[in-house]
Amino acid sequence: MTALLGGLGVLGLGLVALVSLEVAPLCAWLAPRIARRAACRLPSKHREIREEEWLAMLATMDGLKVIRMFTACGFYVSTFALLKMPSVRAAQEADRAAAAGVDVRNRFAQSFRLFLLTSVKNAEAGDQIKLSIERSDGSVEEITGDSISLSPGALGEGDKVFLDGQPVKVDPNETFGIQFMSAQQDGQPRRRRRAKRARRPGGIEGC
Amino acid sequence: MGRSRKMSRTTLEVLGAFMDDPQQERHGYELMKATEIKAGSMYPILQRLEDDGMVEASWEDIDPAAEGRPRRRYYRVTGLGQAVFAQEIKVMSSRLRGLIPGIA
Repeated sequence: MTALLGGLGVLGLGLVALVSLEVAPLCAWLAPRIARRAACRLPSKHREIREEEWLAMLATMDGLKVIRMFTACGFYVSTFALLKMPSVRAAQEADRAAAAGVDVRNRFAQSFRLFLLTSVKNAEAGDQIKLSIERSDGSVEEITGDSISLSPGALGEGDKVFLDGQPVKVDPNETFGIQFMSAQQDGQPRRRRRAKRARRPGGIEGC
Repeated sequence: MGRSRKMSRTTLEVLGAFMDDPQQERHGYELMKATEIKAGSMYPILQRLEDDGMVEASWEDIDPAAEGRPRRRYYRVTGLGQAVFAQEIKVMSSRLRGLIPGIA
């Protein structure tokens, strides 16, 4: 019985050693890729800094290759917290605004403004835009137009939305919806397409 | 510059890692080893400290091609960081004095 257990132990150890030999190169290959992928989640201003910093750190690290991979996973986890920080969010907003052609002077904007900017970015040439605003008194106002833009308004004053060049006053406490009616799709709202884009903002090259 | 939020224990640990020699620049891996804080927490802390002006970052002055690795990013505690750390330690000491009578 003891000999059998001993034999199984040796066999087990052999298997573990074999798997370790296979896993180590995989971890070494995977770690920088995970770090790059993590950096890709960040806005352009932070992306380049973190990518170089993290790759340098992986190159500096001593110890097992599997630990490097776990550290790279840690970088990925850290991006969730980083993306909540005002400075990173402002950079992310600036990226989105630049892609939408909007000048953002107010760096530390509210999430409401972020929503508006993201929505404006989703507008495409030829779209008809329908705004639905639920006012504070409960009434719902619907306005349609062909072009939408934002004013770089100050915090706390409410953001100004321009539809066909006409200002539409929307306060942050009012429910606000934007629907894009694509001309190519027989006036059907392209909600699914918009939702898909919202998950991967920025369209980062090489990420 | 205006720091209104309460400093967490881990943030204080990172700031404390600079205090042995405040003039010494340290990279992320050194700080991780010194504080035993994982990468997932370290970088948000460093970003916050940098945003608040408590640490400043600079790139290592090397040729990455010659060294065969990317440049490291070094962090150094600022005067504000040192002052805030001293203040936090003072507050913690006064709390401890309140909890444990007899500590001078």
